[in-house]
Amino acid sequence: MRIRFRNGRVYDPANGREDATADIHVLDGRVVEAPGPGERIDEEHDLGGRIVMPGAIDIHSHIAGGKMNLARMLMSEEHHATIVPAEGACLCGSGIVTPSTHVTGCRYAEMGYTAAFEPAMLGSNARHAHLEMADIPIIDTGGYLVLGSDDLLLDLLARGERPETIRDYVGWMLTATQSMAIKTVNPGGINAFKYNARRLDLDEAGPRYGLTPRAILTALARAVHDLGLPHPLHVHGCNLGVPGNVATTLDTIGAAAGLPLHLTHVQFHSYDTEGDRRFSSGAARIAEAVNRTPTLSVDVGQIVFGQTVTASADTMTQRGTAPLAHPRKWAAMDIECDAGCGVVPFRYRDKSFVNALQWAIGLELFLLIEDPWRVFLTTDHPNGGPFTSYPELIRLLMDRDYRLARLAEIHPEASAHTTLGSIAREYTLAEIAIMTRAAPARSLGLRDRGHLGPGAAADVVVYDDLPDRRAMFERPRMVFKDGVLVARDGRTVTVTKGSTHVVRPGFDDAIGRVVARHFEERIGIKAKHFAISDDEIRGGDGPVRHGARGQG
Amino acid sequence: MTGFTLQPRAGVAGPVELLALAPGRLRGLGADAVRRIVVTVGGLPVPLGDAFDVAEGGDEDTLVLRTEGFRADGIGQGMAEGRIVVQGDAGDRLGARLRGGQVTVEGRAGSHAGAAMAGGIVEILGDAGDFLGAAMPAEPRGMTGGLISVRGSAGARAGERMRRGTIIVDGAAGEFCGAFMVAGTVAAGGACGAHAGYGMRRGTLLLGRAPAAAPEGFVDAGSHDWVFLSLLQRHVGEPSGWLGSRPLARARRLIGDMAEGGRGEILIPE
Repeated sequence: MRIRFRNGRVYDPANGREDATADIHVLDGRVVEAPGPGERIDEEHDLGGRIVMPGAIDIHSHIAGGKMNLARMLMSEEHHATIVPAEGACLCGSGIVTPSTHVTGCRYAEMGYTAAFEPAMLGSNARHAHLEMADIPIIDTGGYLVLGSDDLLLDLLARGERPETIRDYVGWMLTATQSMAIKTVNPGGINAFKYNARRLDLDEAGPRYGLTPRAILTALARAVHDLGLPHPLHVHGCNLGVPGNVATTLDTIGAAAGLPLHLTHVQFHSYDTEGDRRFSSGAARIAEAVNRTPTLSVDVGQIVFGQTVTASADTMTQRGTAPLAHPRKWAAMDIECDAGCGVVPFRYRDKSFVNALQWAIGLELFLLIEDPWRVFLTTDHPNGGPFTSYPELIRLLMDRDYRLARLAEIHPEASAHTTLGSIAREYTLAEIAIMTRAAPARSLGLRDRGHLGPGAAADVVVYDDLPDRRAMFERPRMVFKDGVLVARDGRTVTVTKGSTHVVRPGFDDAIGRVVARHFEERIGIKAKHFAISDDEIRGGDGPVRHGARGQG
Repeated sequence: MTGFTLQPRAGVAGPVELLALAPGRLRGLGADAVRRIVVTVGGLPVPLGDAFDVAEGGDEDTLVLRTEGFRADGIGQGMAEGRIVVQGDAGDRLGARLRGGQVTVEGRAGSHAGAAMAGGIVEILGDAGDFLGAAMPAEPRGMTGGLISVRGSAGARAGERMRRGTIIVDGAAGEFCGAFMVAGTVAAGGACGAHAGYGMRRGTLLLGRAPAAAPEGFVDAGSHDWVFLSLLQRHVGEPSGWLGSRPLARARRLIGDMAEGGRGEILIPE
């Protein structure tokens, strides 16, 4: 099957193309060089100057796993109110902020997204998360394994084991859970919560193991680096949402000591304590630190006004915000003594000083961080808002007049406390293409995604060049996934199967004996049963394997 | 201006979801327009006319629905005015979130009848299922107003998390009747199951038949004369069921749930 896209204006930053009028040729789901004359073309699309980009990639979106199912159950009134009937190709389901698997896949594809990664997969929930990801149609997925409050890691660190041992343990766990990257959530904090700590600062020793979050974070960052994982340690730091946490975040950046780090939903970690209300923006300080630290990347976790639900492994923070739940219900639970989970529904209101300032802080971060290769477009779905608000967010970034109009509507004191009004920057289409396509692919080590050069997967999105960027990104004219037209004009037309991506680093599997003993003594199941085999992924299709850096 | 009668066509399979059919919405529509209203049959959207024969006739603002042979959920859900008469049994959520008007079912009703309703009347001539007048799934609040009157018996958790309004059950109520009630009145003429008034904060449970022992969390506060009972009888009006069948004045009072402050009460007329 050979497809030609003619007369498109191509935005393909990974291959240095910006608004380049070019043809794109696809053969059997892959982008290829232009064929010789006389080659038969099965399908031709004359794009008439429309904009072409690779499929977008969401680097941080909670789409599967135990906490999302818990959130779906807790928010079941949303599912009663938003039933999406099966229609045409779409089998669909329900939900907006906690969409069912089919709604997740269809909504992403309809917006031109062809991959989304679940950033908080708990080891003991990984099998479930993979089953759920396999049920998400069309888009590619993968999961980041949460480590940092798991007893074996903390035990190894407390006993002073060598970095090689830690590296091998991390490698074993990553492989056993079929993960794409390593994430740490409030390192040590979830464990400390079980010993009645309600707060744990970066340099505060945890009550059980006497380890500081800094020590855990540094050890994990080093292990991830030594394993050669493409994506750096994905960090949800300490003190999320606490005014004054900008200092903690800057210290966390310092703790990396030159190792690559990805700070996630950094908006929630950029709060200062100035002003009468002791709550102000630390965005400028964070942005400055990001700008001068080339080994650092961030995603923003922008908040969007309206009802959502926050779901996190960070039991400590979630227990703290539970009194603010709207509607007034919440759930927190321990996960197999190895991790945590908290689900708190929340409504962000533009007339609330704190929420309005959070909104402004997120936008300040987007606009003050100069390098679009190191800042990713996220709402930390669903924690800051549903992923379906990305088009609105893109418009806020690309359209200063629109931004100022929205700024005028929020809580007046909040607008007085932000520099957002004075920031003139408007994102260009090329920068949007970088932050939503090329950069996430590069950061995750997806060599054949996020670009349109020969060899790339034919994830092709065609947009009308509308002045209203929200409308433009909400309803792409056509979306192709692996060469198949999956959505047209914002409606799903074909439901395909996506793939699950994993990384397979090398490590010394002698660590397996240590892990096996731990499982035998403490967990109550055998390590070999904990480990997920390839034929459990995607209904037997198996994962798409990526090597470590330098492994090819 | 007339009402409408819906007669199911042969072969209607799967549960039918009738959320869209409130008489207030049908006002001013001709039969053809009513036939085009989309309802859900077996999970798929279908024009009403494909599943039902729609006939004009009967009282204004009244919808008569014959339900023999299939399950119809969400009848009168969210309705604000008008009258629905169900000839046959009703499925789940009969009159749930009702704000006004009256829904009458001549047979039985499924679960969540009158759940989270705020006003109006739900009348069930047969038995009611679980969660009668309770909260909708995942919601914190049960019914906040109106009247539910059941000639038969009710399932478990009648009046759970109820905040205001009145529920009358002529027969027996199931277990956890009036659990977590915040306010309002549940009057069960027959026996009630275990754990009546569990976690009750305020409100009144009126039981026509005394339980074998005070439910856990309740203590006996003696027999007294209650003006409230005659006021309640007058207030309820029709359809009052067992509550209107005899004069009520003296009753034994149990107070509880003591774990929640003991401001709720179970009244047992003598």
